[in-house]
Amino acid sequence: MPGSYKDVNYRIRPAKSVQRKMLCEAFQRLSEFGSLKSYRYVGLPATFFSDFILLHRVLGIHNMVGIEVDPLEKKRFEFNLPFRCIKMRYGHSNAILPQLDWDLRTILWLDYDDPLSTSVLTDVGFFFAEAPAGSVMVVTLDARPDPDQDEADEETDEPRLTRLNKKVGEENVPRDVREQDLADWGTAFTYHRIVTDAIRRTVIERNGSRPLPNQLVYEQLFYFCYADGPKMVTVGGLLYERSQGKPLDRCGFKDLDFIRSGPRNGSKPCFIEVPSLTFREIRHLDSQLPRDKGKRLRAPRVPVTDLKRYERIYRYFPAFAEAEL
Amino acid sequence: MPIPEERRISAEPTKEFFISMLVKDIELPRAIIDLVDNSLDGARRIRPEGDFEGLFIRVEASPKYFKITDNCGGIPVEMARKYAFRFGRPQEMKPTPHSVGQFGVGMKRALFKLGKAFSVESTTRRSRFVVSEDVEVWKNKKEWEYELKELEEGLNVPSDRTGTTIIVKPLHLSIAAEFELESFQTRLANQIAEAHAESMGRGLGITLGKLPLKFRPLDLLQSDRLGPAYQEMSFGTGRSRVEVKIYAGISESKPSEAGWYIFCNGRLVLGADQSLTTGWGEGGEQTIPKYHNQYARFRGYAVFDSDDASKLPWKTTKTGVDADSPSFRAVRLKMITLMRPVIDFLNRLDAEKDREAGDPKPLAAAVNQAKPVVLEDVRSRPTFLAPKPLVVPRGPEMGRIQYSKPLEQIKRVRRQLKAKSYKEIGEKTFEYYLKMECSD
Repeated sequence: MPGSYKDVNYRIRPAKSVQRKMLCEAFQRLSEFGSLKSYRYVGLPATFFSDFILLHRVLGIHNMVGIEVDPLEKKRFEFNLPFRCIKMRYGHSNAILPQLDWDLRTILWLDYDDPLSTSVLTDVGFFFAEAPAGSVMVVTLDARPDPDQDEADEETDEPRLTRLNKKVGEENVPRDVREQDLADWGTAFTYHRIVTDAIRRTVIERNGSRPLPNQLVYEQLFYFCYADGPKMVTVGGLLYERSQGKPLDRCGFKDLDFIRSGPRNGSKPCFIEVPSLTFREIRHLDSQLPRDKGKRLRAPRVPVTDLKRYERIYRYFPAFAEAEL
Repeated sequence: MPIPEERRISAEPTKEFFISMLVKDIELPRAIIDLVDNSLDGARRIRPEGDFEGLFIRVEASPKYFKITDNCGGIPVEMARKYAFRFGRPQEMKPTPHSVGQFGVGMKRALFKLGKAFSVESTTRRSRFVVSEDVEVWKNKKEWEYELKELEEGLNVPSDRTGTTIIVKPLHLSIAAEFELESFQTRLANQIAEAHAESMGRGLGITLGKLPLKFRPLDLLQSDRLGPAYQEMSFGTGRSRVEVKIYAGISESKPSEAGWYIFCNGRLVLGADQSLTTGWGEGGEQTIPKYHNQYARFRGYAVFDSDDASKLPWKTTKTGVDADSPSFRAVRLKMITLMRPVIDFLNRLDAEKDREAGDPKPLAAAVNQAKPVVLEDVRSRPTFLAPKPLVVPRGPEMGRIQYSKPLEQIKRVRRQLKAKSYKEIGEKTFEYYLKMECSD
């Protein structure tokens, strides 16, 4: 969790920026559960606070809590607070989350730079043990098959599966995962399965003491894969009560193309791939979108794959310019 | 003489009570393993000599249904009529020699725990039957009976067509939810494989879902200089004779697998135990210390076998041993005697770690040289064999330096030195200073 904001300006990671806007658009649909203003947002902001800025501006959420692991960075974070309504808490998320008040409907985005670990599963488990119906959790992880090794760790040639078993606990790794399944995007897919399973397990346990209509349901909404540099995976969804009906239909999540829910659709990730286009090409393509069925997008010499990629994300496409906004 | 109506108090158990009591006794994976035990008993009936090559047990725990299928000989109709569906095992029943299904509750308990309706279909060389029941309907009937819905006798079935299939469908909601969890599947697979490692070693194939269970044979490290203790004991005579093999030694260093393992008729009933039950902390820690991670290499196995399963120290749930049973108490004493030298060796091995690099470490060397061998290949030996601690001539007196530096600086120095570890950075920088600044 600590540190990567020092190396990369968060705002110019294009795929991440697209993902952020997609999440924000989905969160807007939560108004079915209660006014968005009544929601609390909890996140791991880094000094850029990009997610906080977007959610405050677009959704009007003003109960916002940022968690930063390193208390020595306090001055820098306080200096960078974009709005007065953000309260910073310093400490490990494992320790801070249980200190918050969990009567509030919450959007939690655990935007880690780390690979999956028992510590991540602890945070995820805690959220689903405590959050009220209508809450949403999103977790983003470094999903490289070989993440950076700890400097002091001298055993670097361990098989990936052995490393995964150690990191998340053997009992959490699905039986059919083999060494070769962790190559390329395989680690991301496996993380998705492990996180989802941990969520379901917690929800089952929590339901033990609840009568049927009040039983909680986890509905996955998000499953993104993207790579601005390292491969990343994002998994998350909504917690609701059975008595609240079918929020997926009611909130209109299904109208959003990037939503990944249900047994089949939910296991296919939404890949965010940002094509490299000039401003001129972007304006030219925008003027043809949204496209009528059967009509083809055109831009001179731009590869078809890039056209397809652009069409999928054009509404969220980041516009970067060298200017102080 | 019948009791007159006005004086009669009904003490008949209700089925509801019976069912709810039974199912609370046992964890879900254990209930399923009870069904595997029953299949295994079938295997023991048709292959009493214990070679299970070609036999299989297939378990499916899907959110929609539970199913277990085997080709282990089937349940004879006579056995189904008189015993298999009864609660508790009648005295007059001729038990399967060496059986693991001992208490006459396993199958019923598992069926009730899993779902609302079940069917049991079984084919032997001579007969075939089907019992199927809706538990909700059955609960409300007064009679304690099941009906053989289909029955054929006097058949001549080839032995590879025999076997039993049990299906539970629909499942209880909570059970279906568990079955959907991948982590439950992992846990169940590990527990079945652990419980039945011995039978799998004899060729029995067990699958859960589409994947065969992986089984790891029990092993201990052995060489000419290092070897486990292995003793045999026996009690009783004839059919009720109990034979016990006790092994104590070392294996891979793994805290979660260290400890004692107790088997009854090939079935693991207690695994990686690190508690007083198996002697840890005995005698106020004077006799045996409490478990600590420096004993992560310790492995002990106590393997009980008897034709009469009721003589073995297991509980009805087959989780844990009956610590009060006379045979277990006698064996436990022997276990403690055998483990003590292993504990002493591990203490010495641990102390050896504190020696400086470059000093001889004969104990670690002996451990590294020893090869894992399966229990059948362990040579009989009354006590644990370990190299004597060498009296090493003392080198120059050594001191230890330890310090912290900013990581960024460490990285820079490490790059420059091409050092592989922090330790090497420390040693190289020290040697550099010594050479450059302290030459005589």
